[in-house]
Amino acid sequence: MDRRTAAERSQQILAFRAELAILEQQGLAKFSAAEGKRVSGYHDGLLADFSRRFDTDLSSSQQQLSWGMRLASSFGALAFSFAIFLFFEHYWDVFSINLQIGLATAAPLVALGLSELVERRFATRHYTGLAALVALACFGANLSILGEIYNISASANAFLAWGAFALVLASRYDLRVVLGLGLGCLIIFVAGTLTGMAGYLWPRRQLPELYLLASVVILILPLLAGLSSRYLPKITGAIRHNREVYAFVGLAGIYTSFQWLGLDAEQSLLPLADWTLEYIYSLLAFAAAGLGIWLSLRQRWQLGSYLSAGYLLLYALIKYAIWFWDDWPEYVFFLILGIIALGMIVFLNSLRSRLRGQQQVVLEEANKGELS
Amino acid sequence: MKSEAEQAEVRQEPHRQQKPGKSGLVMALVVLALANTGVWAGVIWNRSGIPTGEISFTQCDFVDFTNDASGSGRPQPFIGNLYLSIDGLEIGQDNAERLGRFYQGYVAVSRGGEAWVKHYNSLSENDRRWNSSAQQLLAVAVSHKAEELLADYGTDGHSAVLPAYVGVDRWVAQNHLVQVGDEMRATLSSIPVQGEDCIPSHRITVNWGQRYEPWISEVVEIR
Repeated sequence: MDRRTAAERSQQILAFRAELAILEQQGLAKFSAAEGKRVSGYHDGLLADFSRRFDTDLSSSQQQLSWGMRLASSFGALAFSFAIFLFFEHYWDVFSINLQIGLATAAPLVALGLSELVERRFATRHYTGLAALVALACFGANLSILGEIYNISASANAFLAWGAFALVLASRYDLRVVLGLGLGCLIIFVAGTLTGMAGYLWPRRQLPELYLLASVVILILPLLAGLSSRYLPKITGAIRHNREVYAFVGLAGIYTSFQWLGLDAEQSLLPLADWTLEYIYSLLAFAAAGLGIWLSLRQRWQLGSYLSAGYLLLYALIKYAIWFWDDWPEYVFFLILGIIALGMIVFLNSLRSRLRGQQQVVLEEANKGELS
Repeated sequence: MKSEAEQAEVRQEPHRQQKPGKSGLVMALVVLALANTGVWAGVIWNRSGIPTGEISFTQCDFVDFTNDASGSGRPQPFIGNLYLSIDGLEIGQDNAERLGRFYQGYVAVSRGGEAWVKHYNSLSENDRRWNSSAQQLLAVAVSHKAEELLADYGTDGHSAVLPAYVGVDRWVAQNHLVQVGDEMRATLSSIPVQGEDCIPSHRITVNWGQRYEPWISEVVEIR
């Protein structure tokens, strides 16, 4: 059992207790005193065990606090990284080149040691996540500083190193944010390498289609891992276990690439006129976001549906402003915008009603099955 | 997004958590070691053997494009870091050929070479104005036909082909930062900032290595 499974099991127990309390209150179901005591004792034992070993939450208020802690740890990591960066930025010129190199090389090692210490000392994920993000930032600074000191040509290979380091940290400490960052680095590495192979000088020339390709690979990697699970079962299992992170990063990469191409068609590899490309990629962007929403709803993946719907809305607004702001009077622009918003509410509401209807059918079928 | 197998696992009695072994830590250390070794190997390889290119100049050859754009027109002062008005990325014949094939290139060559003169004569008035800076040694040629200038490419110390600024606005020249070693810092810091009536007091040599990455190899006082 890992932390995530323990957290999900804890939530399941808490939901079960809440629902059982309502059922008992309404007289629809009731455990005997002995059964109740046995189940309650069993659940208490599990919760205490999970809490002790995995720092899981024991109530919904604790869960809310955990979200706060998660946000705080992300901001903390950002703040610590900035503090380290600004400290060195302030004193950098005072240091000799050798000291600069020594500090740049030692920083990720120290931060990695700190992560290891924190992981062993504290059960909670937030401290470890913070330390691992700082380690990743230090490794980023390590290669960047050496590159600057020795005038090393920019290379996508650095992103391979950063991505690999992030993946190792994510795997060791079970950190999804770090895994997401690592996958982002790998997208840049693949796209940058392909750009170089195509004869262009990365990063001066960027080809969004290649970022799109790399993002699609990340998106479908869990599917591929499922198909080839007999080979390298540990790795394919880990990929499938974190499929939500892969899907999130893949979708985010696809949406970003479409947005990039839809707004700056000059960057495209395709030998078509800019306005043609702009329309093609805008259509593809809307189709991809729609497909993303549909698939996320089908999979009951909340974060994916938020990401897709948010992107759809953002992109639609940007394109709407680009296409019509200059041509229409302001009041017509905002009037149509309001009508579009109303249309979206109607569309999403009808989608919600359909989903509710489908769930009702499933529940009824389940009840029939139980009765028969 | 859960498979049935995973849901079944959730329903199972929890097992004892396995403390993370050392393999992950070792892998993280290996990644750090490999990345840093790769960087150092590249640096050593770049600076080994005979440099692939060398160029020397005085402080009077400097043009700070950034300052030009702001209207001050002052050369970049010598401080801890030395800004060159050239870009040293991936220089070399191989890349120069690729430049001709793929890039809308921008090339820096020594002023006065045969190819330079031919190219200069073909420039529009506007482009000539851009190239009429006071610098004596280096010139940044803006060309959509970069291969025209390849004839001036060489390792004779006075020319270098620099495929730079690809995809960047043609009027923006991006400076390449060349770090100054400890032993040269004091010398470079003492060189005064000079304007149009510049009297050269120091000669600086920049080398390009096997990977076409530049470094300052020498700073000597002109007596």
